[in-house]
Amino acid sequence: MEQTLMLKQLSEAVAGGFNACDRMENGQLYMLVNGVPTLNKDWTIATVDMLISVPNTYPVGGLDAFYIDSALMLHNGQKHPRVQPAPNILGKSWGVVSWHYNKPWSFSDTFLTHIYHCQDFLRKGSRSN
Amino acid sequence: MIIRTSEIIWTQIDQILNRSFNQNRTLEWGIIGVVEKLGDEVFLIREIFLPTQKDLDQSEGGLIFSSPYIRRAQLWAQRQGKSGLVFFHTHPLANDQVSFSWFDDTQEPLLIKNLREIWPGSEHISIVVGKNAYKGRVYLQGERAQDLMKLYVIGRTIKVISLFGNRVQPPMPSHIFDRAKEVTSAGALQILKDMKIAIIGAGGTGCLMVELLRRAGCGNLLLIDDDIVEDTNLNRLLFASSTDVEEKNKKVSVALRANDQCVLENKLEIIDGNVTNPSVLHKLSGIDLLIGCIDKDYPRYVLNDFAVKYFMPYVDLGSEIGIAGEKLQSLDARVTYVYPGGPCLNCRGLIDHERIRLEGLQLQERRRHIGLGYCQDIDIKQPAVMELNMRAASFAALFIRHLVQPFLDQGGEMDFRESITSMTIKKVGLKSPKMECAVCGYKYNFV
Repeated sequence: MEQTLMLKQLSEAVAGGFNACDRMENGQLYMLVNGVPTLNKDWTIATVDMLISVPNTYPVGGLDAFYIDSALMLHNGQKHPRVQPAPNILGKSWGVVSWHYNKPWSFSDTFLTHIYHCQDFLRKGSRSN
Repeated sequence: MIIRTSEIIWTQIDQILNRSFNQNRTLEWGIIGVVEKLGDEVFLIREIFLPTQKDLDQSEGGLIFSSPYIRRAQLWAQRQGKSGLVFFHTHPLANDQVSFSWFDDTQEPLLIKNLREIWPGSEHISIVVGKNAYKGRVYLQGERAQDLMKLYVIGRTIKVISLFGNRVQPPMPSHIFDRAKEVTSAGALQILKDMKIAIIGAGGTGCLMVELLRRAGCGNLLLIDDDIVEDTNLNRLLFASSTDVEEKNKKVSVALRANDQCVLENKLEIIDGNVTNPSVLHKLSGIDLLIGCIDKDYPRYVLNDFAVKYFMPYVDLGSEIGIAGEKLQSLDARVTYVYPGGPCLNCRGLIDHERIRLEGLQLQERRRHIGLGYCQDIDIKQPAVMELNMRAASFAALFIRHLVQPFLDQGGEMDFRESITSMTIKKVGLKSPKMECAVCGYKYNFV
């Protein structure tokens, strides 16, 4: 993806109140968002780190799914059933969440709108399915 | 230098200009369009401004476009960041030969000078039209007028108009093509010989297209690919050998070596690169016909987008496999033609954005996403047998002959799919009814 587009969209995410930055591992570009508010009392923690893989075909190839800090648990002591185990990335343990869009990715979607989309999963807490 | 426009725009220009030849053959007619420069060699006419009666004045011995008419076009073009204007006018008494008159030669430089005072750096084109002949020139920045060579009209067929000022009789073709003249006459052969054709992908289908087009008389081919020859390619890659595998030779180098040994007088240029790289894509600016022989959706998207943006005719072809469980359900050879005003590959559902996303992920990351249930078939090997590739390449090469000298009975949309499993030919449908395509803006209300 173009460097200028990435910087623009990262800046937009930061302006939207998210602590977002770019990271690279094994040739794969990621957007790391630290301290995303979980927005629901079902979770044991108030903020969580999130990791989103960015295809090099972005923005034609859109964003989908995301990684979430493996420390994220529900108050019943369980992990959310949509969170599946994932390998270490950037030296940290994650779970991966398959959280689909209801509509196709469009050019009006951005890093920021994708963070909102992922945060929607957190907002719904145990009701997310 | 050449000009390219769409059939839709050309039909409107032609209707205005034909008034000089269909009605009273003393009245000159003219029309102004807007041009956009693509690379160093091509001007595109994207927009025209239809004249009213008061926009054209003939009281001073020649046609003069009114100031408000010119101003209207110039303001629009300048606001849109275009390169300049194109002025068409007729010489009603000219038939098979036409040239700029003394009046044109004296008035036109003044018009250009005036335009450049209010629009510095602009470049303008003038075309004079006789009944059966056209002559064109371009006023480039800081230079005297240069002759233009051709005007390509791209639509359901490709029409090539010579801008040399006379009705050109094509030269007698080489006797090599004697047995093909019924399907490709001397005129069509000359078009194929002059056209610059880019083949993107030098694999199993691309190498066949090079061979077929060379033998169809195409004189200027450009082949683009960045892959090396692997042993699994040897079942279908023409002229490749185990030495090419050992030496890790590029597929384009194999094609070039074969071309150098061929007796046919065509040029083959190669680019070791990928069209998803903007600097490689830019090299397609001067091309007259694109041929896509690629099995990935992102480069296909890039080519489709480029063709739509720059009025380029684009023939996309490939072999496709359908699998349900363990069972092979379909084996298809497909050819699709994209042209300005018609549906593009995206409208036809031939580009899968989910695949584009997965193609853009590194292998490990892609596997994780596939594990989550996304697009299971992305890692399925596409069919790779020469016979199937040949079906698609053969259709595509015949279709390219049709573009320059139409012979197919069936009009309508230019894409079809041959099912080998059912031995039938079917048309590729549009994605869904009553939609507007996000890539080309094509509006369709049928399936």
